Amino acid sequence: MTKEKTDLLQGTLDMLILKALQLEPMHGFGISVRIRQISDEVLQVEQGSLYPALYRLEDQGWIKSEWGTSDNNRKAKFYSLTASGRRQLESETANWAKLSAAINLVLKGARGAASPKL
Amino acid sequence: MSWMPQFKYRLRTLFRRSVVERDMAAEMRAHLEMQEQVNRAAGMSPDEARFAAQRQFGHLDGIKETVRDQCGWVWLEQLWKDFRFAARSLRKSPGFTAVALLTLALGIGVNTAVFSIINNLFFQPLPVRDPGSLVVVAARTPVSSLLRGYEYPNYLDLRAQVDAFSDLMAYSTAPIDLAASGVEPDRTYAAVVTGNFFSFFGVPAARGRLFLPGEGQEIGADPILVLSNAYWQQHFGGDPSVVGRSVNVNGHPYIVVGIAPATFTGTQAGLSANVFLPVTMTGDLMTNGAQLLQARAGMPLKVMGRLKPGVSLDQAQAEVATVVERIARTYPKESVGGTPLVIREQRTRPDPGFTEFMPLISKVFMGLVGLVLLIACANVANLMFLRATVRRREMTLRSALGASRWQLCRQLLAESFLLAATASAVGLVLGYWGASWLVRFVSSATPLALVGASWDWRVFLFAAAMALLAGLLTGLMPALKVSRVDLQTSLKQGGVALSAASRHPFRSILVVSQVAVSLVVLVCGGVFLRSLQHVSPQFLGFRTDHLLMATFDLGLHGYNPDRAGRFQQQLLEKARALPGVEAATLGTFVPFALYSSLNVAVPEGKTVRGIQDMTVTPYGLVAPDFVQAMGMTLLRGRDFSTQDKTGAPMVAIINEEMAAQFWPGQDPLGKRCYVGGPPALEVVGVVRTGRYMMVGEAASPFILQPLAQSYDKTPLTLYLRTQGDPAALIPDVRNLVQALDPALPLYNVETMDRHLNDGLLALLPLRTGAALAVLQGLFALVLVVMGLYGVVSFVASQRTREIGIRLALGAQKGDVLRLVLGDGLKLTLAGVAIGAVLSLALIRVLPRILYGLAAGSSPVMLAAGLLLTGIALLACWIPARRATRVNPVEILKAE
Repeated sequence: MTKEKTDLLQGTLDMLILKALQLEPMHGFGISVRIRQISDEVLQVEQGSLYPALYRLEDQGWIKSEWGTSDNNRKAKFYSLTASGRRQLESETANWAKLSAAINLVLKGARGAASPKL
Repeated sequence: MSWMPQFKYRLRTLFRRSVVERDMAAEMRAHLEMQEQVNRAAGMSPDEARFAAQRQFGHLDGIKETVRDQCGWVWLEQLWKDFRFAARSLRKSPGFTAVALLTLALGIGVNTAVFSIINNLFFQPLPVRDPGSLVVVAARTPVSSLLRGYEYPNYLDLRAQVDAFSDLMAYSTAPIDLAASGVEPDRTYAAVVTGNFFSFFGVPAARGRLFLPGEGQEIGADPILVLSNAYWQQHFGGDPSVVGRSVNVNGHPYIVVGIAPATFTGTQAGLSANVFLPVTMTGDLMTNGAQLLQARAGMPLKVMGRLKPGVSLDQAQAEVATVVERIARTYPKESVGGTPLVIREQRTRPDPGFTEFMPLISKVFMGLVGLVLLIACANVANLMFLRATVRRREMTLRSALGASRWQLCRQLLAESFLLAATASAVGLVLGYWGASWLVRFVSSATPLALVGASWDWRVFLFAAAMALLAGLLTGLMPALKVSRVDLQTSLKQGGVALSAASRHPFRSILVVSQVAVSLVVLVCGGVFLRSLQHVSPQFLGFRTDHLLMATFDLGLHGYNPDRAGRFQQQLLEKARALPGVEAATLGTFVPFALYSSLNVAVPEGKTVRGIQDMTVTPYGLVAPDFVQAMGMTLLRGRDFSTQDKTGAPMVAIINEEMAAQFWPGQDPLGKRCYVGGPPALEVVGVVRTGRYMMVGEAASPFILQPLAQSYDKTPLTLYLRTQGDPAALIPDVRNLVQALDPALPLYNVETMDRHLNDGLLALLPLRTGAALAVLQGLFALVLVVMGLYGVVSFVASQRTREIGIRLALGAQKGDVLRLVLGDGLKLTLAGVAIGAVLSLALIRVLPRILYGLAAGSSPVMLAAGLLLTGIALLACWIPARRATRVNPVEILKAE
């Protein structure tokens, strides 16, 4: 299931998409806007990465899609999390937490250990 | 169930391609529109908003492409594309495709045909209850490499004392003469079985009943029989009233109690039984049968058992060994010894006796036909190679446009796999025909064998495997070789070809080996043909035309010598009186019969210390005028007459070869020799040496003795020399024998010419061999021509520039011709030389069917070599001629 551990960037995008979909179904445009908003405009998702990722996630069975109507009465494809997608999000979130904590430790530790020598 | 939606999604992307594409486009359009709206809301003009949205989104088709490429089915799509492309490019060169397809289809066809028969023989379970628990119980003895069964009393002990089996059954086969009122008496084969035979197999009766529990227990008590369904249909027309009727077995009355079901063909896969008799009736089937049956060391039966559930083969074997040991201790004098074996039934086919050989034989056979496939593959590989080199330009272009080596390879491989798969389908059809032909052929040659072909999933799996193998074999080498495109040199296109051999070692080797193989095959065909020509009355030692033969077996019907003598007398008299009969005679000797009678002979006065001092010779007991009626050439002395009877001096007629071996340089007439034992026989005649057991045998001694002086119980054959078509007399002969003894069947009723042509030991192998070899030889020749033409014309076209320069510098057309022809000739001569060595070796080790006939093989070889070289030159001539027409001016201008 967790196949992209090594590819941090792609894995991260997948995780962000899953996270964006956690509360409610959304269309592609909405997802990109949501990610930008939550990240305080720091993360810009390229459409060239977003759509391949969406199709990949659907192929994996983590999200499913359905045609629906958007807020301003436009036809749009809405993505929502599946049960296995929810599980995936949980495990990725946990992994991410562990990883970032570990990286933080390393970064802090390295500073602390290096300074006495200087 | 979480995979279900995912699975549905994947199926949708595979099969609803257009819907997915439309969705994707619509979705991205929606995204753009939303972005546009947002942009407009931020205060951009409509146009600006749209362009900005497009800029932000990026390259639409590029994104779609990325999405498509990561879909799980890309590989399938690419494969599909490769195959479609392959199909298109194959269609574009129908000639190549047809030849390659046919070659592979033949190779695969032969293989599937043989496999379907092997499948039938070895892999199909017996059509009985629980076939998986069946085992064969036999002994490996030090005296013979064949496995041995157990005698009836020993079988009874095994059955009573071995606990590992739920039941044991024993059987053997015997020829019988079966007669009934209203049907032609018939000689057929019976399965002679223990009383529990049918219950052992769990087979129900189709009509009537089978053997009851009390039957087949007491010696000689149950004159009953069961007919196989096929035999009942064939010989009794499926008449239901046959059940309960009395029929005649070897002159003894038997009751038909029932008919076995159609699915049940007998105990052994591959062997049909027509009639089932209780083993306790063996007394009616052979001389001293009852005593033989009851002996502990005499007539072994084949024993089959059913393993109890949960009992292993080793356990059963150990138990059998214990009982066998006990029997051997109790009856030490009658013990034959040997190690008991318990073998699964499927592993003992087609006959328990051959268990040790069959896997080997079938492996060898499969290996031989596998070789055919390999040759076919080599040929097609060469063709593919030729085609690929011709397409070098195309490859270079593709490569220049960015195709990777793997992509080029894949494209070529797709072609070879497509070819192989199609060939495999055609091969299945060919194989189906081939198998049914083979089955007919084998069953006509050996009446006992129930050879069939089974077409089930195994055959299809086999054909698919063949296709994969063929695809790989034919495609891999050319693909690897050709895809190694060197853009620099190929695009520059100035490559100066050196010669065929140095430029294309792989293809040259293929061409050379093709020439060699086709020479070998041609020589074989020629030798076979010459051998056939060689067969004449002079060579065979008797006249085969206008000769009718019919065999009967008085011994089986319990005739004593007196009665047999009277019968023979009457038969001969009546046969001679038939209109159109020139001469009639009788003999135990049948040339090229499946079972020839042999005897040992010793000249009088020679000291005999053992078998090595005796001469084994074909032998016959014959009626008066045999030599004359058979059209043998009497060199010295006289034929037998009615005077050579009991009480008269014992006489013999021998052949030249025997005279030369026994009394070299002396007059054999009046000399005496022992045949089989005393008394000595006086030689009264010498005939020209002929062929007796096999057409291809070496000159062998031969000895004839008057029938009246030595009655024995072997079957007799009536020979009629006729004026007209001998086959026309068959009904008369049948009526005549019927009138003398209605229960006596005639068999092997046929003309000598047919017997000679279709006999397994006569001309059939030669004729089949000749036909196959000639056919193959021609086939190989065609491939050689194509291969050579391909190589030479390719090389010539590569050298166009060089040739142009040579011509411009003053070379004559003849020089150019020689230059190009030389290439082809070198390859041809190399092949012919290798082929000649190979065929010499082959002729020397060819089986004995060619013995004495292959003497004249050197002219055949010369002819085949010349033919091959000539045709090869012709194949090179066309490209060579084309090369001479090169216009030097154009070539030089093109520079």
